[in-house]
Amino acid sequence: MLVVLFDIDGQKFGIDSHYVKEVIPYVHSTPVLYAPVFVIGEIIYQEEAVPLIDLNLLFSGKPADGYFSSRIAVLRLLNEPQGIKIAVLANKMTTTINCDENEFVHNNLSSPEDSLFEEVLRTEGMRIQMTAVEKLLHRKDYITLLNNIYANKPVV
Amino acid sequence: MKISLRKGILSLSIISTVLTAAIIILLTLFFQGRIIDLAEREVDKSTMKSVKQLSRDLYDMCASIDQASVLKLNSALELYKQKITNLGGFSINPGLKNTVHTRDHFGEEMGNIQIPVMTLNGVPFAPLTDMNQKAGLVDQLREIFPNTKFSIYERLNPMGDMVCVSSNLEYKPGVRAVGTMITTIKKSGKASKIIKNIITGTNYHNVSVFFNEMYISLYVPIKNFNGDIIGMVHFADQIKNYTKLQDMVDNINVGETGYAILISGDSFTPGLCVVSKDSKANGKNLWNVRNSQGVYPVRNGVINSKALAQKYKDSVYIAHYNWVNPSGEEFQKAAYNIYYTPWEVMSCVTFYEYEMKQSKELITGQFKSLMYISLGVALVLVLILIYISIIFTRLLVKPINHIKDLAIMMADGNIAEVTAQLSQIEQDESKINYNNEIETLEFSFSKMIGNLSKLIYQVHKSGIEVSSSTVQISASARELEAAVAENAASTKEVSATSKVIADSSEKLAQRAEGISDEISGTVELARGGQDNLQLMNNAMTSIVKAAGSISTNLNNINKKANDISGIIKTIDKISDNTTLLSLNAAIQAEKAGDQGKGFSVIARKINELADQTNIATKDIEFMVKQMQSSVAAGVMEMDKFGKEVQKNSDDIFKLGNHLAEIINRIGGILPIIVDLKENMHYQSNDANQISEAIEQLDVASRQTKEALQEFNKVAEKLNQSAQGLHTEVSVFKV
Repeated sequence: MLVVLFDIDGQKFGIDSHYVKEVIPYVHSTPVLYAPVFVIGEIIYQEEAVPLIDLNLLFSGKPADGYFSSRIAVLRLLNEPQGIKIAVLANKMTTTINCDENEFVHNNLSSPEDSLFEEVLRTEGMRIQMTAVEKLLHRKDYITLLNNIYANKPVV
Repeated sequence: MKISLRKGILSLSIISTVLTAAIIILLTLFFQGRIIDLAEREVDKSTMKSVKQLSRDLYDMCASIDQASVLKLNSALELYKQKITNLGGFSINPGLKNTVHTRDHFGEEMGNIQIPVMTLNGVPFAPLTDMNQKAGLVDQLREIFPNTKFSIYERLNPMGDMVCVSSNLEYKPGVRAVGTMITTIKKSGKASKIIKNIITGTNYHNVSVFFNEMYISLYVPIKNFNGDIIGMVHFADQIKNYTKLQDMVDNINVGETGYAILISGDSFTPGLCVVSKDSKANGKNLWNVRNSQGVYPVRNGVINSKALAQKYKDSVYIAHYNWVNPSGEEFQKAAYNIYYTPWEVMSCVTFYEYEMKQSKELITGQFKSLMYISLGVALVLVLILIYISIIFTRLLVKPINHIKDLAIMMADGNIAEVTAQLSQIEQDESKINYNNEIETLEFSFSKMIGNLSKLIYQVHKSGIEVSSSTVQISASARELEAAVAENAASTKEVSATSKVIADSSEKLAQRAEGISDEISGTVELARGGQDNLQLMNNAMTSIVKAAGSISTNLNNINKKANDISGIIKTIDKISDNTTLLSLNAAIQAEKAGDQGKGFSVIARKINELADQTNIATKDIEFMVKQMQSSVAAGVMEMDKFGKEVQKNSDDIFKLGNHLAEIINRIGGILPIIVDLKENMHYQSNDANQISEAIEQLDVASRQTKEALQEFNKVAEKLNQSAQGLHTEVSVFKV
């Protein structure tokens, strides 16, 4: 299994590469009206508008640096028939790591329903928190939000 | 010759008044004759002008009436033509004869003649003479123009003699002028202008006299059906009917007996009086009237005025002649005549000249009376002026006499009494009227006496003071004498001191020469120091230039380092993109499953390579940044060093300047020392001279002492003079 690594506030995080459609350089996004603070805007990917979530802002409260090493990963929701896409921005998204699925251990620090990092990978002396992409994408509020954004309707 | 003020002023007033009056009287007498002559001439001129104008007015009236009459006769002619057209043409019926009793136009009988009958439209003209019987055409025309006379004439022969066959013109009251003849040749033997014009078919206009009455006439030919001239019609307008002319003549009065008159100049009736004052002389013929000298005044007047009118249309002919009045006395008369050619009439305004002389004498008498009245008034005025002069002379002389008396008292020294009398005179200057000379004189005299009084008092006082002062001066002079003796002793001491100063100055001069040599050496040394400073300054300038060059090179290094930094950024970008590519390659290889495993390995290697590249570039970037900061520091240090060197160079330059200034100043001291040396020599000489002068002063002091003794004597004399002044001033009782 290939994991795409990124860095938040000195800690390593990872995304399962199956969700990743492409990693692209950092581009400026267009702000979206009525969106939550961490949805910093929308980008155009392959002639399609995709909402951009700043993972740094979401997880640590500080926006991503915007250096060369800050990258955008375009993610695709595997279980969604419409093939809904979102993009995530994170620092130092420059390397991948190959690992076995058995190496994952459950994260006991949070409840399984709410946590976006329910699994942790320990390999090569690193502690990598795996991002629960499905939860990230399937969170009810996000979807509603995204629908509203696309429908150009204000969120009540 | 000396006369009193009073007599002088009085004489001046009387002389000026009498002289003025005398001049006026003499001038009046002198110009009297001329003025009277002038007045007479003006009267003559005015009379002549007025009478001339009257004569011209009469002439103009004739012209106006003539114009009006011609218009009237032309209207009558038009009416006549219309009547003839209506009634048919004239003709002569030789078969029928009429007997006509004829006469000329003066009324002289010419006997009966038989003439063929003239007809109008076949109706014969009956030779009616009674005004009460109707006479056809002429009476019809008269009904329309009541004041106009109409006559029809029949041609008797080829010569053109005419006889009247029908008329409403009266030969005498109630009798028509039928039978009146107008002959081709007149009594005088001249050809008739009327006949001459008519037989050539031309209308003729003139003024004719019929039976001593004057008529403005129009003659028009009568033609038969063949166009032969068989007679003529006469339209006559009696001048007498124009009452304005008569009124005008009646109203013209010149002097007491002067009058106006119109006299015919026509060759038929020359001298006939046409219009006269109140019609008294109308019809009279004055042609042959003559005076005792055998002169024909009327005849001459007509002939001369007619001749003048042929040259100048309306010129006045003035005639002077003797005229016998109705009482048989003969006086000189003047007549102003103008000949009115269209009527052959002379308009005449005439008067006795002695009447004009009476007017002139009246004016002259009036003027003389006026002159005598003026002379009388002038004499009375002279007497009044003399009386006024006496009064004013008294008023003027009285205060001056008063001042004169005061001046005499003043001369005697009675100032106190004069002051007492002057107290009556106004003392307040603000109340003085400076336009009044007497008042001003009194006030000024009073003021002068006051000032003089004060002056004498002051002189008196000063005399005493001068006297006491001379005593004091005398005492002071003696003191001064003693002081001069003391001065003589002092001058001897000063002389000794001057000699000591002379010796000291000579020594000082020698010392100054030594200082001068020392200063010359110092200046040489300072100049050497200045040259060294110049060399040092040149070296500093070279260092500044070298520092600037180093700084420029360091800046170039910095620029190159910036270029390296740009290259590093490019490498970094490439490395980053390589990382991104390898990352996506790894992801895609993973998605390809087992088939992508080999590619996955390559992707990872590329990723690692990119990582290493990234680290190397980071190191280079760090080193370049360090180099840039070192270069920047070096540039700053070099700038600082350059400025320091420049500052030092400036300081050396200033030091050089200061040194130069010191050299200049020391150099400047040298001539001063030389001057000082010379001056010391001079001072020594001067001190010697002072010593000599003091000795001379001693001699002068002795002379001063002698002079003071003389002065004491003079002061004594001054004291005596002051005593004398005091005695003199004491005469005035202040």
